[in-house]
Amino acid sequence: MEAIIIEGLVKSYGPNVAVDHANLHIDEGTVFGLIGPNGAGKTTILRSLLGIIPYDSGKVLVSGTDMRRANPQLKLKIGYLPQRAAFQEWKTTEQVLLSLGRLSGLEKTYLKERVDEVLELLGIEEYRSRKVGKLSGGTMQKLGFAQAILHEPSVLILDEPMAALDPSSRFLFKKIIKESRALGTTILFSSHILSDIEDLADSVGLLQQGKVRYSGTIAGLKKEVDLRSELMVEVVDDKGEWASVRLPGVDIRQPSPGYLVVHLSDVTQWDVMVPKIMEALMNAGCHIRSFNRREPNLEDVYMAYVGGSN
Amino acid sequence: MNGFYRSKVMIALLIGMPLIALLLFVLTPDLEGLPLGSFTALMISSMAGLLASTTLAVSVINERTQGVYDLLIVRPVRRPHILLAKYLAVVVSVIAAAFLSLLVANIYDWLNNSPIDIGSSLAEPMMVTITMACVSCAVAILVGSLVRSVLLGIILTLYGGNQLSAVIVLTSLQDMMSTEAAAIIGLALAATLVVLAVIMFNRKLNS
Repeated sequence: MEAIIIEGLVKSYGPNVAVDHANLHIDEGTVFGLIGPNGAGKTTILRSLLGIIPYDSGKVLVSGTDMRRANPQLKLKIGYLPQRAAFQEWKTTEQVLLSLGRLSGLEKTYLKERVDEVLELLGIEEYRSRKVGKLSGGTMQKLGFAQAILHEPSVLILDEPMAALDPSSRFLFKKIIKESRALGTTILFSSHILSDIEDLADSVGLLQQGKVRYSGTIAGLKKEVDLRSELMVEVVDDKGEWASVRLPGVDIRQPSPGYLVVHLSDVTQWDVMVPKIMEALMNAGCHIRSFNRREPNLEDVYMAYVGGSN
Repeated sequence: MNGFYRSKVMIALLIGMPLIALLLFVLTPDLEGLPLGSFTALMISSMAGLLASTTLAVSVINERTQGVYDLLIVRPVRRPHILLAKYLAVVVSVIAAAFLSLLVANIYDWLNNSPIDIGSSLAEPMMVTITMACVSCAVAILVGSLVRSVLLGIILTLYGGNQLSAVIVLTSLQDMMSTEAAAIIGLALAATLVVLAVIMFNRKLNS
């Protein structure tokens, strides 16, 4: 069953079309990553979905409900972390969670237990009594994440959740996202950190200039772009001996001194061809320090898709 | 409300106002026998709304531009309630502080054997203060909903809200109309401004 349905979504700001007939379908209990360059319309889609901003036309449903006209109680199904979480600065971390928890309909005793739980989960118990205005950017983001998961929503919408975090905090966020998915939560998140998307997402949506260029699995996206895997070879004391190597179906290039990149016309032949290529290079007089085969990652695919237009 | 009554502004209003009124009363050489109650009433009606409304405008501008309200909107909270809650919190806090200051001043007068008329020393000043607070705070939330610059917000609230509220109250002080009539006009104006503010607030949150 689909937890989120976006069909023909159009949103303009004056003459600028921010989202142009976007279509996305996200299955229940999956993690969906939204990628695209700055200004591609990622945040606009998320804010339309949440009913924060009105949209011009189209259909946007979360758990079968249009959030613009949703029964207030249905809003409790959603947890939201904005790109830059902001709170009333005079409140302490604990007061923020208590007041947002009350607005999320949590009963008083359970709310206190839940606040303790999320503060511990995100490692910010020591900031419990600190005023929000005195928190660092990373701690603020953790507080933002804490309020998003406080009421245990069935749909989590996260806008650039890991953009301002150090590596250990990113690891923690990813762990929580994976645990939430294991519990059946549907997660939609946007990110510029493509390795995070690759780690977490079951499927992705690639946005460019307000249009959804691709929606589906990462494997499907890689297939669509048709990027080939390659062999990276590091050579010592490179005098250009590699240029004399001629093997059928093998293309050798030198992107920078001391490094060679090898492509095969038939990618199924890697296991057979790697020893032959190595032998040919050594016979030609190359001193090989290291070599490894590299599959194209999401970043390569992303750059192939949108890199040229930025 | 929970936050505002514990804020520095409210501490200034609750403790500072009676103290300043008392200090100025003692230091001012020629008051022509004006009792402390009346002097405090003048002080409060001119200052309490001023301080609270500028704070309110700054608070709305900051919270709106930083996106604080997004986390409320995605919960079962109606947008107008966000603004109305802030408005009522500040107005009620100002009224409470004004009442406390006037009460203290009138008790001081009573202890000094000055004749006290509840109507002129407590009811009328309170009516003036309530009207001024309602009008200036309504302007504050309207300005807070419209502008993005804190500096512009302060200027507009100071010169728009407080001058507007003063004009209404001055008509009663100049005996052009009764205090009650001025209060009704002022409260009607405040209600209109609040409705306008709610409409503009909703529009800005949609953008």
